[in-house]
Amino acid sequence: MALEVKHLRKTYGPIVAVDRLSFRVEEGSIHGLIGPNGSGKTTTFKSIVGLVIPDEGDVLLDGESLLTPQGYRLKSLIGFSPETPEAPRWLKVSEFLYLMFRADGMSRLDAEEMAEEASATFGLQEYMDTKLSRLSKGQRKRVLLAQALTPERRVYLLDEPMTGLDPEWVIKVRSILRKKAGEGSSILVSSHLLRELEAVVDSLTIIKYGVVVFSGTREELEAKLGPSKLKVFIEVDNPGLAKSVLGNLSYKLEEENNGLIVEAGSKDEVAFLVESLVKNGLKVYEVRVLEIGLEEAYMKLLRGKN
Amino acid sequence: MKNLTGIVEYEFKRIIAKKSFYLMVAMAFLPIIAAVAIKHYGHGAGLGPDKDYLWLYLYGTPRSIFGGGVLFSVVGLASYMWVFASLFGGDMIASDLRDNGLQLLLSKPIRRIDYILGKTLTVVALLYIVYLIGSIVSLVSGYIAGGHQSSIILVPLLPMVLALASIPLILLSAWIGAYSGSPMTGLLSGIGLYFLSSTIAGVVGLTAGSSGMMVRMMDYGVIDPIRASTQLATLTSMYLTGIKTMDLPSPGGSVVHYGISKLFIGSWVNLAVSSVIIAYFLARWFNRKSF
Repeated sequence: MALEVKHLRKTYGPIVAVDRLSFRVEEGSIHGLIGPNGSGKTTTFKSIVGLVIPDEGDVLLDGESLLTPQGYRLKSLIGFSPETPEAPRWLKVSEFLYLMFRADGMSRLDAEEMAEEASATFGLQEYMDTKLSRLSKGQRKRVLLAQALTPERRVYLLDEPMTGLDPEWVIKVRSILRKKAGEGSSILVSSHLLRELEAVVDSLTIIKYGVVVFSGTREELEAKLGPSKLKVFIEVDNPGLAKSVLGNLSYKLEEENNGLIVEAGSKDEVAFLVESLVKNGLKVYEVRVLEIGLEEAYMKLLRGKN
Repeated sequence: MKNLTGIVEYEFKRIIAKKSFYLMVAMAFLPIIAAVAIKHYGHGAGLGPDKDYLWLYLYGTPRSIFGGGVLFSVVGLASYMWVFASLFGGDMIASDLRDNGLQLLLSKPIRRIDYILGKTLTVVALLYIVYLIGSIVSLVSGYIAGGHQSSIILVPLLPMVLALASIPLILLSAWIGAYSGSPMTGLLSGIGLYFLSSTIAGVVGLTAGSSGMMVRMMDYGVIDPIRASTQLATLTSMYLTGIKTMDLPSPGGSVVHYGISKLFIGSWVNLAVSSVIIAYFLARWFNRKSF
């Protein structure tokens, strides 16, 4: 089921939050909506689920508009997790999940079963009798994801889903998203950091001040901006010698602590650098990637559109 | 319909999770204390017809018209109905706005109108239950204080009238609470509207001179929905128990005989029409609002 946002525009007084935004999330794919804070990502999500009434434009689910008076029915196919990790604090986790599924139109029995299933997927079983007010932000975020990422939905809208999650859950959520996409679901996911999503998205739309600055696949983004660079930190026993070795190979270098920061074009090139250092009698203690390629391309893109 | 049930369950859970709900239920038991006090410390003293102005101002009901028969059934409930309606109306939408509940619920396959409808129905139903408890307590209190109580049929009926009569105040408090984003503002506005309504009724009454004051105050309920809501329990009780005229005492000591049919119908029509109008404008505002 494809989700299509067409010419969406929303203003708040003189402020244009989103300006004729258009993109498409194909069936079975993960689409990233990326932009700095205040770029209009949350307004876009809220417009799709009907929390914000757009001034212009449309949101289509397999060609059927979500914004018509009857469009609310289509929302039973959508799972939405909002940006802020806030939820009614007076409810226990089990009650919250149950009531959210009831609001989805499930029967009491189905809602209870689904609450159990969702809590298991998101590691919440031990918190089922705990009030939401007693959970950490990260745990509340998992509860919100649990009410959104249920199997019967075909489209998932996740606004900043990784914010507040610990690294273990970031990896698990990525894996859940990949699995859902593999099953044919369409997923729209946002972040203000490209590196959070780079590993998981098939395509992306980058917005700034509510305007699309790029929309397409990762490969198209790389093609548009030229080959991106990896910034790598290499710790060695003799930084001076290392600088000389890599300098002779025409690499751009910065010295830092007991090592060097080097710009490389690819992972193969990183291997070549390490090999060169070892061949010259240097001991390499650590190799760490500081910035992943697309992130830099993304920053370049944002800077260029000021 | 399934989704509406979901909203009803959500609102029910929200209200019963509040401490103030249990405070309100506890308040419903207060008439028993009053009844015991009356029985032991001077039956009827200080509650006679000479205090009718106070009763009328606070409850929209001159106490003496019932001759004590169903006194507690009416007064015991009406005394806190407006607080309850303002309290739960005030945070009906505003609290969901604050804790993200509104965003989550409206992202579900639920129409905004169903959200308001489901919440209002739940508040009205819970008000009915609390009023019913209050009404039974009031009946028991009546037995304690004054022995035999007439018109027991009113015990389940009056809470229904009061719950329906609360609708304008619930909706107005909900609207103000949602508009300001503050449940407290919703509550205080509801209470403020109640006192404003009573005060205007008093001023309107005064312009008629001493003999027509109460008549004017009761008449005012035909145009003011808040006033209508506070006097409907009285009017409905009288109508259903066959009382066709009110004897309204004036400050000068004379008594005005006043027919109630017109007033009864007028107040109900006012309540129904005002409820529809307020609901219409609230829904219109809510439908266009971005959250």
